[in-house]
Amino acid sequence: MVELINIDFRYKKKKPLFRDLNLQLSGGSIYGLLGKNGAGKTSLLKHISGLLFPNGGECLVNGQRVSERLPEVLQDIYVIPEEFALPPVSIDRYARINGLFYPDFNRDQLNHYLQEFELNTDEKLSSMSYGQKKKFLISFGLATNARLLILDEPTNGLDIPSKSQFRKIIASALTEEKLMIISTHQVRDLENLIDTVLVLESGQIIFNHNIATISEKLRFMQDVKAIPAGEVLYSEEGAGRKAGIVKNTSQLESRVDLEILFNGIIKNPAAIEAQLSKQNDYVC
Amino acid sequence: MSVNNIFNTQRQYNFILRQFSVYQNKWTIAAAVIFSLLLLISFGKAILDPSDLYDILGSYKGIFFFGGLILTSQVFSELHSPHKSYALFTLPVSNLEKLTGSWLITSPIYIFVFWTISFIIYCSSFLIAGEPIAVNQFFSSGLGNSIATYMVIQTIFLWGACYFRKNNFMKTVLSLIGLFIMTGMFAGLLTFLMFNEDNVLVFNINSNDYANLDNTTKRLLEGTTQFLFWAVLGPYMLLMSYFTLKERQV
Repeated sequence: MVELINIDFRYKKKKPLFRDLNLQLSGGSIYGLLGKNGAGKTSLLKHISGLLFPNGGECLVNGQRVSERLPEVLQDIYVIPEEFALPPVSIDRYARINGLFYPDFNRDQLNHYLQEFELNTDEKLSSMSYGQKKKFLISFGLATNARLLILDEPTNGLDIPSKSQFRKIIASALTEEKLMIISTHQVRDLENLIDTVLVLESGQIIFNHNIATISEKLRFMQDVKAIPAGEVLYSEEGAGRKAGIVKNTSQLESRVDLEILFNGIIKNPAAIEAQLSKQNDYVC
Repeated sequence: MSVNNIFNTQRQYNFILRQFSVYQNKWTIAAAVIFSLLLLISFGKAILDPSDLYDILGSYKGIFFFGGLILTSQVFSELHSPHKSYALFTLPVSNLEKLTGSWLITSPIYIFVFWTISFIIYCSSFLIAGEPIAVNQFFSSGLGNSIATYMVIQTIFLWGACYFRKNNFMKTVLSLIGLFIMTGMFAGLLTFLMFNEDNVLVFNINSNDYANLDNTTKRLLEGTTQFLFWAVLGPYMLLMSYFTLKERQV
């Protein structure tokens, strides 16, 4: 569904952000895009949605160049940015006017999501808080039924109950033909939600694995002190413990701790990649 | 179902509706200011100095140009705000529809609304003054020419609205001044090279031919300038605006 081929991009002449970046994303999945500050997550999402054009290479969505910004392509993409401004109209009016552009927009679905988020359709968008506006935009984006939904830091500004509502709604909205890309620093908000972890670092996707493979081959432990050093792929000191990632030699799936995984990928990518690429070596 | 990616009338209509909804506050305030000003000028003249009431048409034209060009320079303000531009860029509307929609709002729709309301105010001021309404004066005082001139100049400001990120109006005015100075300098230089005494001799032109050449050049320059202004400038600036919009990124 999304294909990035040999993408080169730079904001400043001598400082390239992406060099020969390649990525393929397919429908029926929720991708979690992780990366350090300034790694280029938002820029990557902007390329995928046609907001930025690459200096080299091409970005295809459903086989078409997204930079052409054709209505046929755009009606299947919905972007929820981290920072946004909404016009001073009511939810109802916004939905009536903007829903017209999306052929699969479903008003009942929107009402359902709004109800889940406890938002009133008569309320004016300009009088809402940032979190409420975000919940509205997420609801509207899902109700467009666009096949590609791009969310940049979607849980920023959401209160604790709304975060769990968000996870519930996103999980229920996923279908075989939909693809969702969620970029965030709040990795805990994505746990039990994403299917695939993508890590962007130094202008490249350095990690691209699904959660099933990760939980099958890696084990996340709050204390690895008792584990033989050869089994430990990554560890970090904290609060008197040594949390870390070890090889999963049992047949049991481990619960993935995205925070430790991300730190492990950044600090010791080779060991983690080697373990994930390895054939199963279960000790029975 | 195949989608027309270049132009669709329904989508165009929806886009215009959306633009009115996005800018409704700004445009309502602007319209209130413009028409209050027209009311003030018209009724003031009707009460204080009702003779030659149709003189107020000059003020109407000034307000028409100023209001229209300001409106045009703001029509893409969404494009220049980092928090709003994503919405316009990712809206499933073609670049042609975005441009046409914005042009329709700031040119034909604006012209129609402005002059319709102005006509009502104009007639009302005659009624207040107790004078017979000079309808002919309204339409025969170069109104058509003013509208046509606005429609050409407006396209330059439409391009400025796409191209400049901040202070579009002032930057477009500055660009126009720069362009006029450069054109003037070029024309001056050309005239100097052709008609100063030394060069007249160089080109071997005798005094009889000189007068003819002067007239021919004047006619040629006038004709070319008029053709460029009325027939080329508008479409060219619209084309420039289209490509500026197409290549624009956040």
